[in-house]
Amino acid sequence: MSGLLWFSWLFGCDGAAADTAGPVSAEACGDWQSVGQPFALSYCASCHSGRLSGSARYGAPAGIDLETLAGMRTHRARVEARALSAAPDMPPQGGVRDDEREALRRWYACAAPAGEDAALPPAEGVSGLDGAVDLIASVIEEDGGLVLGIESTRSVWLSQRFEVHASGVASLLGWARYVDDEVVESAEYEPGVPLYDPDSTELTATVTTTFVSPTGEGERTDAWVSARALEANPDPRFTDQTSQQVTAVRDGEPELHLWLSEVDMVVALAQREEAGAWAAVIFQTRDELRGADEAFPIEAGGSWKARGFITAELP
Amino acid sequence: MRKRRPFWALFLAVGCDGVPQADSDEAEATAPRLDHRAAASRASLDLLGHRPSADTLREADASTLSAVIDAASDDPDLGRRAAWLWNRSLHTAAWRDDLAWLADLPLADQRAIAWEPLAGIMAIVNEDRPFTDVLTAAQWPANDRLAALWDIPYTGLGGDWAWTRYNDGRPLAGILSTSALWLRHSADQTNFHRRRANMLARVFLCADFFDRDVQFEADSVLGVGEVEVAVRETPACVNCHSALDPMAGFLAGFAERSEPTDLEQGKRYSPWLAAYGAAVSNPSYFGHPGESLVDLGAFMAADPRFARCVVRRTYEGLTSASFDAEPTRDTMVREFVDGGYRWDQLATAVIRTDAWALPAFKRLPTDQYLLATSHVLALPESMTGAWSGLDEPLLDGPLRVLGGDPDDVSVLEAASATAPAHLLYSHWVAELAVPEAVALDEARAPAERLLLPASDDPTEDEVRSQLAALFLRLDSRVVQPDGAEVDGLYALWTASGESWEEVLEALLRHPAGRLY
Repeated sequence: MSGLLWFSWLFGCDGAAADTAGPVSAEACGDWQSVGQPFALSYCASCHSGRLSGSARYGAPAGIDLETLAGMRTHRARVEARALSAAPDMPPQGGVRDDEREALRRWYACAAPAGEDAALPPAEGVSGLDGAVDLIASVIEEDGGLVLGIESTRSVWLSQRFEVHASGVASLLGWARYVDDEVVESAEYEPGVPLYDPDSTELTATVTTTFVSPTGEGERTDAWVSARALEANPDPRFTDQTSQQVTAVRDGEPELHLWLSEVDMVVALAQREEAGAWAAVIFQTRDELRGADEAFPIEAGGSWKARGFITAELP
Repeated sequence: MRKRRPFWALFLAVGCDGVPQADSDEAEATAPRLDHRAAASRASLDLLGHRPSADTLREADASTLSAVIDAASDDPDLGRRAAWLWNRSLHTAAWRDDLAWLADLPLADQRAIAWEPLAGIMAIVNEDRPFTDVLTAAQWPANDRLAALWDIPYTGLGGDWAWTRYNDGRPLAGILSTSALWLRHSADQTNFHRRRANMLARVFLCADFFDRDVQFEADSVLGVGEVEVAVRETPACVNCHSALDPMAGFLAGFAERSEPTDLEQGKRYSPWLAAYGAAVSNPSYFGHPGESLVDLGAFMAADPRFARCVVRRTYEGLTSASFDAEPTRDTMVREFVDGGYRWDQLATAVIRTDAWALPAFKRLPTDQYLLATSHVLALPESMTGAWSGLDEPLLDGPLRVLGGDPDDVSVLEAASATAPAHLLYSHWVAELAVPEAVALDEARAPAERLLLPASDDPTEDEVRSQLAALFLRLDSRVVQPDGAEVDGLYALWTASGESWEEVLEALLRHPAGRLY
């Protein structure tokens, strides 16, 4: 044995190593890349990660983070007690092979050598979801029409005004986007942009659009086409058996997407803002709307949780 | 109609000593080694998918093995071999029975779809790119058929596979962005891509969630909604789902059906679906949040489990030995990473291990067997070079089952034992391939023939010389024209009315043909 290895065995290993029959070679110790990181990724970091917060931690206590070498070293005693003891309770309900636990014990016993410390790269963050916020959506009656208001921290974030007929035909009359309850841009449609008709797959109209924005006011005439595609549902978890997507197109470019469930409830919407960005809202529960008739889903009195974001990257 | 010979004739003709023998002259103290010819033949079959040339075998000496290994790094067949090796875990090249509608497509379209995920692996290996490109490349090859099917630009010539890009808004992350991968590995409406996420963990990380021995209470029956709560709150479920579900969130842009109803749905990628799924599922990779397939690919490529898994799959694929028992495994992983993730260097390193050289013989898996058979019979390759003349047996499920282990999951693995079905398979492959091969050879100029003698009216000596050449070509064995092996085959040739088809089929049907 080289002097260096002998020295490291004497001073680098703790009591766990002393239980073994002899000194542990560097190869047998392993390092962060060969032992520590694979174990942490496989069994710890999906909950115990400093990059996660809230429900994404699946109940892992804040501050007990194991996705890095530093974290695995800092919380060594805790990991040994919870994951490497005779009766481990982490990860919950087992699943770790004996040889994997033994390899981690050896690694810790050798003072958790780093080798070439490596961390997974940061995410590129291309879709803008960093800006996603939790929202509350609700529908109220106003001036004989229905208004879908989407609030963020008790501040209106987006509103859409609809005209809904008993037959199920629906049109969008206008919308407004707010920052700190102030309208930063809005549009009025005359007549409304046809969005939905259970008996039609495509609706065409010539609509006058009036925009209001901090940079001025404009008015123009647009040709709108709304197309309905069946089974274009974004997520079946929040819909029923058959789903559909309504896409409203102006001058050949999609301006608004609505995803509807079989019973004609909106589950998500995405709307292009005048500035070119897209506002997207995903409604996370539809329970309050269940039992609705065959009409367009937005009915006065409904409210539900939503998640939203604005991004210039999509689609 | 040709006159058929009884089945026993082939044993009489070929004998049962075709198995490569350990060379006692070079035996080491602890284990026998293959002789030079057997070692060179095995190396060529493992690295390139076919046997060495007759000249290489005839002149084999102590330097031949190294020469074969060194030359393999620059041989384009290495990439094809890598692709087929990875197909054993990806299972994309042969699965059309799983999707009934796929069988209605022209065979060339089926091949193109089936080969798409593997085409990138082939190109990455042959172009000496880092193997991490499999998960991170911003382009992926397509041939003309695939480009037409997927509505993507075709950048090649004459139908060849060439690098291109999807242009429907999907993030580009190597194999993760290919439609064919997700056609093969589907997810249904209540699975939310978890099955697909586990496939990625299994294939590229060797971390199959199904391998976790988690303690469950399995007596409860949950509805779909209850399941979605349980996977977030029940400890036994959270054990896997805390990693699996966020990883599945990266895949939301792809169609989520058990069986796409048509090709349009199967090839569709929706950026909005992806954004929606990302918002709902909070995609992350084992605790590392990300937002798109690009992030997922980058995370996986940087994960030390990926490098180790690539080495493990390569090692076990080429040696049939346990990677965990390999004493140099950590060094091999380190050198693979430090060397820039070069698969050719990894494969040739594996071929130099004792575990590769020690077995007295190995069994050719079905894919390797068919590629090698196509090569020795000089059957024409398809335009793409990805498939060879015997690709139909690879695509046809019931026939594939005859050739491998008897189920449709491990069928492409090396059979764990020789089975009677393998004899039937060899018999059937021989009947399918030999007539075409002989017809093609007859059409060649006499001096360029590979299977038949140059003369249309050969003397006995010429026949015997050709029979000895066939032993060398088909079995990598040097026999003498006046030896016992040729005596038996010559007797078959004369008894069958001088049929070269009978002779070739007899050689191909022999069980030793699948041993190497």
